[in-house]
Amino acid sequence: MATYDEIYGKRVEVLSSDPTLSSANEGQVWYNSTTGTLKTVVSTGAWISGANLGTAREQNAGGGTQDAAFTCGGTPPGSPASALTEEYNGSGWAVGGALGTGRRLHGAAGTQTAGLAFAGLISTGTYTTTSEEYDGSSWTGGGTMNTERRDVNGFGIQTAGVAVGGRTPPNASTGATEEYNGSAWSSSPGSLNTAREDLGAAGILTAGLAFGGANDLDATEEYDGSTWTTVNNMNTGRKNLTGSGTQTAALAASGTTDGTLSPSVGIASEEYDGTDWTNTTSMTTARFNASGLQGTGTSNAGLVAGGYTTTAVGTTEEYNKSVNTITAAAWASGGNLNTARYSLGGFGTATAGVAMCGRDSPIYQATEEYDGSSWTTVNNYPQTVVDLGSTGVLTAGLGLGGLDPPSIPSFPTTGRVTGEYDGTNWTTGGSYTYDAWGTGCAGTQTATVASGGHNYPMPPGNISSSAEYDGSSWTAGNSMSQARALFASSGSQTAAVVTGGRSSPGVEDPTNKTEEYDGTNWTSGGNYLISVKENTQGGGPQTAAYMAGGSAPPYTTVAGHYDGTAWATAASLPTVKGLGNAASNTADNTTGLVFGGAGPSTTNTTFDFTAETTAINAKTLTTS
Amino acid sequence: MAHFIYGVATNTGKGFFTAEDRRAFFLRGYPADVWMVGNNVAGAMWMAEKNGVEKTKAEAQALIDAEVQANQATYDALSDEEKAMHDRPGDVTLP
Repeated sequence: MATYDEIYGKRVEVLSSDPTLSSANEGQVWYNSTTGTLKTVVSTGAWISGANLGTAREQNAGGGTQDAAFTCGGTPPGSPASALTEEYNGSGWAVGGALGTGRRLHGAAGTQTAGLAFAGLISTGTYTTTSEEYDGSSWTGGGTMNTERRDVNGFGIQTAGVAVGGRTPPNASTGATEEYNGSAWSSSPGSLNTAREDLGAAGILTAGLAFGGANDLDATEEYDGSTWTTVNNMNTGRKNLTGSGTQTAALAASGTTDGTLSPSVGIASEEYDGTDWTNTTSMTTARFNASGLQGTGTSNAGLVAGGYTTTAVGTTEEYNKSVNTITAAAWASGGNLNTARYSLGGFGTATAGVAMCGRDSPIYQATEEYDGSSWTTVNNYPQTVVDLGSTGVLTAGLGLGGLDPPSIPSFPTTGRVTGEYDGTNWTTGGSYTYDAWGTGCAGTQTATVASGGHNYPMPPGNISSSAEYDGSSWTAGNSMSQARALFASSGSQTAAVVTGGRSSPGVEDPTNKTEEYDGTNWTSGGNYLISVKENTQGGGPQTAAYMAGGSAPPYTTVAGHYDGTAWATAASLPTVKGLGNAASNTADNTTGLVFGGAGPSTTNTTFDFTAETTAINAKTLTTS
Repeated sequence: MAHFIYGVATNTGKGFFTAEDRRAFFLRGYPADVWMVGNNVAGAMWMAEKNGVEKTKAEAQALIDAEVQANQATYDALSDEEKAMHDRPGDVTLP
């Protein structure tokens, strides 16, 4: 038989530089003659922080994949069974359709767009046999189960789902298994060999897996669509754990042995390869009664959402095992403004930004330009104002209206001034349609849509009006449904998005309402994550917008990404910030720049946003 | 030298701790936003970057105890029916 040497001439390839790497290189070894190192690509696993749930809860259940997951029901601290559904896109959680029946200690399976929830408790001591189907936006009634139970688990998909185990009233563990065909539940002839509740599960109808649970904490069984077979035990026995993956590549994580938090058991994580369980890297925060990815998740991309420590929590952890090194999206500190200020204007991009006006004490006219690392003071804005609207790019920017608080009588004059910037000088353009400050602007210098604002002093109150600018004059347009001032506005004149702000006339309450503009009409968009005002820190196009900070009140670090339909949580700001401004004309929400503002003290800080990146890293082999 | 740094930091969600962080230093989360971090440069830098407020082990344990006791009091005030849904939150002791 030919040897490896005879076929390839040498055992290890010698290269002057590392090859272009892909996942196909996993396990390959080469010698880098330039660095004198032996290198390889290996996969490693790690639990990392995911976005926090909007609502902390335990006893919730979910399905889907790590970047398209859902969790539903459960119980927030001190609350009854919840109907709330949240959807995860890998970056943030957004509110989905509510369950028809709030439930806890139930089972779930399927995907984010074809999910299944079943059984559980609808109130303390009251079981349900109902099931519900999710289509990605709303839940509808499904078939009725044959066995009422709580502490149940499930796997599979909406049209081929499985419910297994649980506790039946008044207090008995069951091994009963039921199958769902998309319309009706039927009892499987197979029952778990060890009846149990609070178990973990993974897989599909014809190749399922049940593991752990009370009262045989480490027992594992495989399902073939009709029969359960006992296989090798888990390494860490536990109940109230989460599962994901398949029968031959499953992931178990979190859990408890006795119903209370165990720092060692609650972080335990192990993988099943179809034969044996192997311990893998631990989670960071111990918990139990969390939600996993039953049915369609993988052992290489797990998710644990919410759960219980000594109270219900909203934290999420993601498990990633790959040859890639993933760098999570984050805000980093950029160069500071030369002049700290809030209620300022701003526009441009993350590497070519402009800030102007604003206040601390006194009111400023100063303009500064950002090159991606530092701010430089340039020519002054035409007037001394705060809370002006703004949009455009560095070489063609626009400022609108604003207020000079010490000179209120002059407001009707300052409120209509349009400032135009060419990258060097400011000039005044056409007079605005309204007397306004705190407007939102979107688009370019020659195709702007301005909306909302405050027409103080007479008549007082926030307005819903809008107008379009063509580079020389303003024309009144249709009104928004929501009066607002000091809000986020971005996009273009034919595809703009606004959200948040000080809302109803004369009222300073924050709002979560989002509206979209199509060049003619305003229509409602997906609500923002929280009700927020003074959130003048956003940008990007209508289908990939970002918004960060504002005041709930108090000032917040919450940030969100908008996809044209719904807002999802994004990496939070490092510190609270409101009444700042942002690079509004970034190409999408993979970059971002917010600067100035208050939190509550006036600040000159700048935060740069960098999206998540992945890269394959070659490891150097050493002896030790 | 102590093996761990203890501190309080708010988990801001995605990106709060990354795969690189998990490989670079030991990290465990506890109630009351208490974090136990490996006492090395990477761990100390992480705590600082997260605006973490460093605590002694005793201070960190006291914060955990206070949170757990508050949650235990909440549990004790529940009806017997609700208590049956859950065990009483147990004490959590830093290792």
